[in-house]
Amino acid sequence: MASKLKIFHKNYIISKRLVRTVHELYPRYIPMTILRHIAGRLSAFIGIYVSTMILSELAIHSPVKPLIIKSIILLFTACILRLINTFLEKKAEVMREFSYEMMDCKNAEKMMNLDYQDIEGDYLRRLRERIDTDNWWGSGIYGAFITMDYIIYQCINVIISAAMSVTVISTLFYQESLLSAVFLISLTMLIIFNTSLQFYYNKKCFVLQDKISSERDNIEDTDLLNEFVDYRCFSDTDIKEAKLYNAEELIYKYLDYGKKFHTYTINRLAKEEGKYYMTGDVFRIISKCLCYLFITIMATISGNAVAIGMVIRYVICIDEMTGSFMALLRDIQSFLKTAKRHDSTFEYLDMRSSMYHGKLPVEKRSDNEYEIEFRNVSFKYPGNNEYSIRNLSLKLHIGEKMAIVGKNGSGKTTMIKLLCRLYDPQEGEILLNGINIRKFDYKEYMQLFSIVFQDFSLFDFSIAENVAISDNYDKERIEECLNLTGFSGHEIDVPCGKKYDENGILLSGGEKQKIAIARALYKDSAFILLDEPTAALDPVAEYEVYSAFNEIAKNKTAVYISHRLSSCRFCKDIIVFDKGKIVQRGNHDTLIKDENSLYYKLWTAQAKYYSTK
Amino acid sequence: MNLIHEKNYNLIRNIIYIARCSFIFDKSIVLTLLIIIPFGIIIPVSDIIFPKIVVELLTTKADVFTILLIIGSISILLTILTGVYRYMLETRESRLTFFIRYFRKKIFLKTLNCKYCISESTEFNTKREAALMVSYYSRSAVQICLHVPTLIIDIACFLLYSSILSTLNIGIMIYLIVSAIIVYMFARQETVCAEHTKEDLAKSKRKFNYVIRQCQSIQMAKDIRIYNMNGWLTIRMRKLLDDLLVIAHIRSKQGYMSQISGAVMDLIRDSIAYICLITMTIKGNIALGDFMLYFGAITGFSNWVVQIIYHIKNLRIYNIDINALRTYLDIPDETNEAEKANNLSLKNGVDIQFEHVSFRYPESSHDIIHDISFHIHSGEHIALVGLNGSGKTTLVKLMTGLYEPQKGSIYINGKDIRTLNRKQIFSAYSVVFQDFMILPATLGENIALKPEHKVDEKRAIDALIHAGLYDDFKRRGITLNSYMTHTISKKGIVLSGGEKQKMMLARALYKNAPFLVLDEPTSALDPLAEKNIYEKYQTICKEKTALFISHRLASTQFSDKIFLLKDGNIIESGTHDELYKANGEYARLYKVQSHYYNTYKEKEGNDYGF
Repeated sequence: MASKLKIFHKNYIISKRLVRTVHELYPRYIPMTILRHIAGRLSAFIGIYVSTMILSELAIHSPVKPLIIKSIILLFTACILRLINTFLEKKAEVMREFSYEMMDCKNAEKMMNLDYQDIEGDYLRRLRERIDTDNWWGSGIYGAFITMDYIIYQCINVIISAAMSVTVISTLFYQESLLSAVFLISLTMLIIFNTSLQFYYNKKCFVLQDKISSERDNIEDTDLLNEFVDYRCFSDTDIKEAKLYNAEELIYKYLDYGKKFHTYTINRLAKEEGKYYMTGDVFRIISKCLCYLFITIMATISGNAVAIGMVIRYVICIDEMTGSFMALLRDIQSFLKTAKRHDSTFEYLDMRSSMYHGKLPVEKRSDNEYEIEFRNVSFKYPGNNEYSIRNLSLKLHIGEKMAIVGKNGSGKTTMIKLLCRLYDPQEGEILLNGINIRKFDYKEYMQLFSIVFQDFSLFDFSIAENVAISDNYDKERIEECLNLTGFSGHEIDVPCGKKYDENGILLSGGEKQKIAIARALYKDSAFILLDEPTAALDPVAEYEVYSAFNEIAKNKTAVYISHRLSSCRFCKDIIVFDKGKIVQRGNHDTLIKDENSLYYKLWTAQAKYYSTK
Repeated sequence: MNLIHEKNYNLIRNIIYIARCSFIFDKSIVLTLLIIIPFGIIIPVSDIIFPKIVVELLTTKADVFTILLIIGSISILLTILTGVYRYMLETRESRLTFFIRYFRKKIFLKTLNCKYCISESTEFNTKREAALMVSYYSRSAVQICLHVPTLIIDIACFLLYSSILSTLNIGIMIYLIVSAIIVYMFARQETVCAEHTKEDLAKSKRKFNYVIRQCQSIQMAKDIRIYNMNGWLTIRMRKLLDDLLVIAHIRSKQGYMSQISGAVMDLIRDSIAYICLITMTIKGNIALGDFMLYFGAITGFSNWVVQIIYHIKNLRIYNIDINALRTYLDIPDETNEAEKANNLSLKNGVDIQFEHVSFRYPESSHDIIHDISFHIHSGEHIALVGLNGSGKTTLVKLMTGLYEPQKGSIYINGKDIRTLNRKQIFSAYSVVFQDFMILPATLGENIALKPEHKVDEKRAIDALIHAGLYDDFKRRGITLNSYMTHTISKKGIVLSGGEKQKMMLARALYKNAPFLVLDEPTSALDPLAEKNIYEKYQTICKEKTALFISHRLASTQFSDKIFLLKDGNIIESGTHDELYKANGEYARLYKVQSHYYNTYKEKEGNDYGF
């Protein structure tokens, strides 16, 4: 009992939050909807009122002229109300149509404000999967908008139809109290039956829906077709391999994986949904028939004390009232369901930053006198047992160029990620001019770094916007930065890629890399870090980048990571990483002397192919 | 040049097409939907019959028993009809979800089965996206299945109401039809406006979606934080949303006229109907019960007209999607090509000859490969070098039959590639590309690219050992039956970039084709791993023809011959020593790259130009 109360309380809180969210997205939506449905329902009931009034008057042969005039005046009012309704409906439609987009904006902003370590984490990945599932079944925020609309409609309909049928209670029901009691009780029973049945089926559907899109524990549960079609596990560049290696048979095998399970569950879901909707319709029609039956009988028994038109009007009104009441309960149910399907979204929007973010401003220095120190830093990636960085101590000397070399997975990139606080180390600390970097304001701290990662990405915006990260840019400086990297041949306002603007051009990997480097230069920060910046470049382009880079990085602290040891040779300070530790440090000439060292091995592995004969 | 022929079938033909497909997909669904049509007609008609009966019962002062009998039996009938109708409709609709799957599968298989040069083009991708629209929100194929029965119901009801009204007054009927046409005209104007703004809307929507996706992508997350793009992107996003809303408001305003005209027409209709019916009742021409029936018919009549217009309008919209679908699905499959010779013998290795081959991408204006001729003898090891964009990968795609040259001929073992069966050409090559395909299958299946029961385990393990992955996998407890990627299993294997590259090598080794092509196989590897591959290269390629593509010229030293590709043509070829001595382009490249590795002393930061 207590747990049920708890669930009820939780549902209540989420529903309230959902209403608030709708209200925040469009403050005018709720009042507008109320107004619109009042107008709409009034207009409809005036129509019923007029037709039934004429019917009664005709039955008692009253004069025609005043009847016609009265009818036309009423019809005209109804027409005006109807126009108000449709006018507001159009407005509401636009709001609803773009509710997804409004919510998308909210989610995207949230995403950009999360800490990087949370983004890569398992928790967020699962949460996002849950959100996708929930949006699919609950039709997202649009579902909330539309169900709220229904609920308001039903409420107003119940109120107006009740008001219009109130006179029937005083006349018919008073005279035929026994029959009326039976009638009212059967209507109430109908409502209760209908609501509990629909509740039952609804719950069943909910469980089945979750089953279809549950976490992937069971291999047979995943319908892989969608993953293939949407290129989530197969990309368009994979086609050539599939062809050359004749992989069709294997792909066919997996295409229909999980089809059996899904067909079975979807068919079950279809049955439950069918029962759910059938219940609603059947009970509605029963209540209507009951209204006709009882009111006609009552009218007959009472010796036609009530005008014929009135009978019809009462039937329609009481029918509308019960119908709407049933629908109202149903819609509240489905709103609860929608709210439950928003639980994941709210959880996402409520995610807090898991990192400590200080407020300390970074001292602005024109002389770039910044010093970075790693002190006994150890780090392992979340969910990983092995340390990627072990007890690392290191100072970055101001204005010097430093190269980091090492095998794959030795912790080179991880070190940079720690430096720019994409992750925080578990042990030890990183200091900027003697102060722990966690204490600095993150945005200001990041102003110190320009980084080009191996897996950098560009937007399909114009080249200039990609370099400047702004809509107002300094054209000359952009061209200067691009020239330094050896980029040429394209206007800077050309979009790179066709996804944003179809007039864009497709750039080669090398050109993209050059733009990414230009972006780092444009930022003009004290530290510049390059992680394998030339992997996609050919020898000539690589040479260009490096020779230009020496020029640019003159008075900056620069760190390179490279597999190509040749490019590091000109650094005074070369650090060799192995298994998360620094194993060697020094310049090329000293490092190469020790023939047992890792550096020697790495160097000779590459150099032996280039030695001049 | 148009690669893909646009298809433009009319609505009827597409309805027949969808009907045929749905019939193949599941016979019961289509039949049920047709069977319940009569139910769909009776239920709404009861709405106007019911009041008539009640009024008649009251005016004739029937006794309670008669009332109970008549209304009771109608009620029971209606309840049953409604129950059956709704249940059937809803269950069939839900089950049609799988009809979408039917088309999605077809769409995917087309990607796999059509010619590679087509499937790679942007035109193909646009067409594919358009075809996939049938399976997204609009779900056009399903909607057609549902709309057609509803349309039949609408038309039947329209005819039924017309016949009721024709007994009353022809004038009213004419008015109803004329007003329906007027409302339709206004509604059409609305659609015309929607057509005009459609492109703007789609454009803004695409831009907006692009930005939203990028903001939320994990791929972008690092760059967004490092360059503090947060504020910039937020502003852009909001601005694009505002653009969208502006267009939407313009569109919605267009609807006012049709709404106003509809309301006015209905006002006039109701007034005329009342006046007419009242006078007729007073004159005694019709009974009170008929008054209700006729009035219901008059107001209901325009509803059916509106419904018919609405459904036809929607069907036409869905028709566009279906045409897009058929345009895409009608792209010929590769296997649809005329049967080709199947007699390529690979016993004595592979011998490749290019004769004046030129190739350009369908959407491009210049040749990427221009008038190239060369000969690779069986057993030769060739290094292909060149700058970015010189056409190295294109050459591989031509050689392997993925592309067809526009000019010139390519021969495998003396046979023109055009006369050969494509599968046979493919069987001659093992290729390691720069981008990797990992399927959500087991490790063994990923190596063999064959279903589990066809995987030769010993060969797969051998391939893993040679690629340098076996020990590491063994340590991590990975077997050939472990699933890869997170798609199927949360515990699936995820490989690093370097491991993927090795995995691709293992795949090529498993296939063991006579011609091995390696396209930059070491770009993601560290020097020691790279050296390892280089050293193995000799053993791997023994008794095979091989082509090694690399930026790193070191790879050229263990090749028999070097091709230097520039601007789509081979400008230098020969051994390393020959080319180095010739002091041409190759020598220049080599010097740039070997510069730092050389042992002579030199001051850093020196100008080392060429």
